[in-house]
Amino acid sequence: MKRILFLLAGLSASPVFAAALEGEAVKQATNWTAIIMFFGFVALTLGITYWAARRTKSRADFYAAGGGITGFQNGLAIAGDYMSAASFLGISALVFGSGFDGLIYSIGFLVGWPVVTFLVAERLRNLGKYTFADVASYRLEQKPIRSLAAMGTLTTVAFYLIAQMVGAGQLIKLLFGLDYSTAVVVVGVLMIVYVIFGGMLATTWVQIIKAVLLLGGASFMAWMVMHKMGYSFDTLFSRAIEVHKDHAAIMAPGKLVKDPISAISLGLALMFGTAGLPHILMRFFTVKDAQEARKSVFYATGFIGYFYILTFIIGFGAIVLVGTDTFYLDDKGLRGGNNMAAIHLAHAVGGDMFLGFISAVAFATILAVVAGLTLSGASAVSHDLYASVFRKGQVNDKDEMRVSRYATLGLGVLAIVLGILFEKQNVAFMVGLAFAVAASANFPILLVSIFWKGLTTRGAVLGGGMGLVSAVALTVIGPAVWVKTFGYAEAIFPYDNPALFSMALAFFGCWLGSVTDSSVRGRIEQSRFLAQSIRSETGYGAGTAAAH
Amino acid sequence: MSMTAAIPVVASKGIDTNNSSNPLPPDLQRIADSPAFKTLQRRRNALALRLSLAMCAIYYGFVLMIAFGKETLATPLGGVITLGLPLGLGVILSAIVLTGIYTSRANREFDRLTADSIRAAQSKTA
Repeated sequence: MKRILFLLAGLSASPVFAAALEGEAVKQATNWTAIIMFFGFVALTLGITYWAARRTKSRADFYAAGGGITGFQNGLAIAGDYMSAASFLGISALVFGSGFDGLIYSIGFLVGWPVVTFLVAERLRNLGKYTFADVASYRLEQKPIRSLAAMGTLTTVAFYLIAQMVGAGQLIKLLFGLDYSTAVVVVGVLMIVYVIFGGMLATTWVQIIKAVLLLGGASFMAWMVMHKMGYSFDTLFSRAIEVHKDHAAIMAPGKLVKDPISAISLGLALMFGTAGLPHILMRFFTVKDAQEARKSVFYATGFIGYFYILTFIIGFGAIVLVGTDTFYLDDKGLRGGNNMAAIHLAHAVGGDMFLGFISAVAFATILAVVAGLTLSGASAVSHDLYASVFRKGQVNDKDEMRVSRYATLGLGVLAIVLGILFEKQNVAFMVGLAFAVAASANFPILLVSIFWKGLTTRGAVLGGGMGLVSAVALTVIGPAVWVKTFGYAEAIFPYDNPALFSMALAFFGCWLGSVTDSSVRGRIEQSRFLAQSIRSETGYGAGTAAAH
Repeated sequence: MSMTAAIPVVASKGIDTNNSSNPLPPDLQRIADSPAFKTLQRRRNALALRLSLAMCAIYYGFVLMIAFGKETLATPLGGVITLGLPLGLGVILSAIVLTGIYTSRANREFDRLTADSIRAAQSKTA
């Protein structure tokens, strides 16, 4: 028996989830409607992959879909990349279990997007081509900055991917009655196929389709809930308070937020981690210019915000419609654990067909997220490490694409193996760690290199390195790993999320390393800032990713 | 559209070590000197900073209220709905609205200033 929710929590973002969710994964009876719908989805996406493969000829196609995605499409794809199965199942489960607290998490996942819009999206598009390292290394020395950015990318991707794979295996076992390892292999193989053959174009369309299915399915559920409540929030909340074991307490914050330091630290990781997730940043290179990049974040913010409002209604709907119906309950509570709240609600409002649909959507959701992660990890290996560091930029399209495909295969196989090895491990801390590294290594060097003239290579390496190392080290000696995984009684570092401290160290390192840098190289780098800022603000000289 | 081949995506090696003069290519210099670019830079940075601070104030204000003012958030507003609910929903909506404010102003104003700046680069009289 596994603690599924522990793991599913890891799918989305926060180690704190782990403490909040309880439950066990019971292998369900094989769900044929869901499997047929899932095969429909797989057939459709493989068709798209075939179509995309014929259009993926250069590295610009492979990494950035040739720059031909529109702002609206990219907005949907970003939403599809970001809304994981746990955003859907985990947050609705959290609302089902403790009401208001679920809202606190969804808000944390949303507030990074405005920051991405104001500070990052347009400038990133104007300065870079395929990866965020293009931007960070724009006026700095290629080798150290790209190596550092690739490490930040791979660390983020690895932890995020392992958490996704383990969560996927558990979820699919639960939803479809498939064996855990089979589920992990199926997910891994499909993701490798999408990325190797279809590159960014296939990945983008998988994400768009998933986003449309998920938003459509969740809208239908929320609408049905409101329909049954006579379209009255008062009725929904009154009935939820009546039947929930905590009664009126579900309408106010509960125990999830412990002390202000933890709350702020987690908030920083969620907010600025979003702006440093390499697979999200990479999406901005798929549109033609900064204007489309800006529009795409606006659409994405709207979709994601709307989605979190839906999950809140779905969670409360589940309290009223699922939590009171013995058909969905067993002696321990909800059948299959709290994470099944949204799935059971799908059955309650739409019968077997809709249950199958929502289960298939949950599977599709995982595929879209892991495909984006793998592509971004592969591009760090092929574009940053191989092409720029190892070959010093002297590499043709064919070689670089070949390396990125091998990297995809390698990462995919690694993800499958680690997914199986980590089956019984506590991986809930991993997504929290991924966000912490993104906020403490990737985001600071990106932000500082764009906005501060004084930054030199030395400063970026010191700051990025300090952020990366401290985020990982503080997580290891913190409660999530030191106590829950290693079994020590007391954590050396008392907070679940290190972002408050590791981000401060990163910015301090960037400053310290730069002001003490008296090298000629440093001064040249600073003198290039004006040219960089002209390009970052106007896009003058920036091309689209198309290279025909 | 094709890549502008003349401008490398990454700053290349072997740059002029004579950094004291800090030579900017003439077209970039014209952008830097153009009133449109200066206005663009000033206005956009001011807006981005203000909106970022607003988002942080709203979000961290909400987080601190959860940490310190749970009872306030639990205050009922007449019926069953508590103060925390519209506030939480307000944070979600504010994220969308602030992003919308930036996007609409950029669409109306910054794109025009950007186009003017780039036009300056191409003009001979700057």
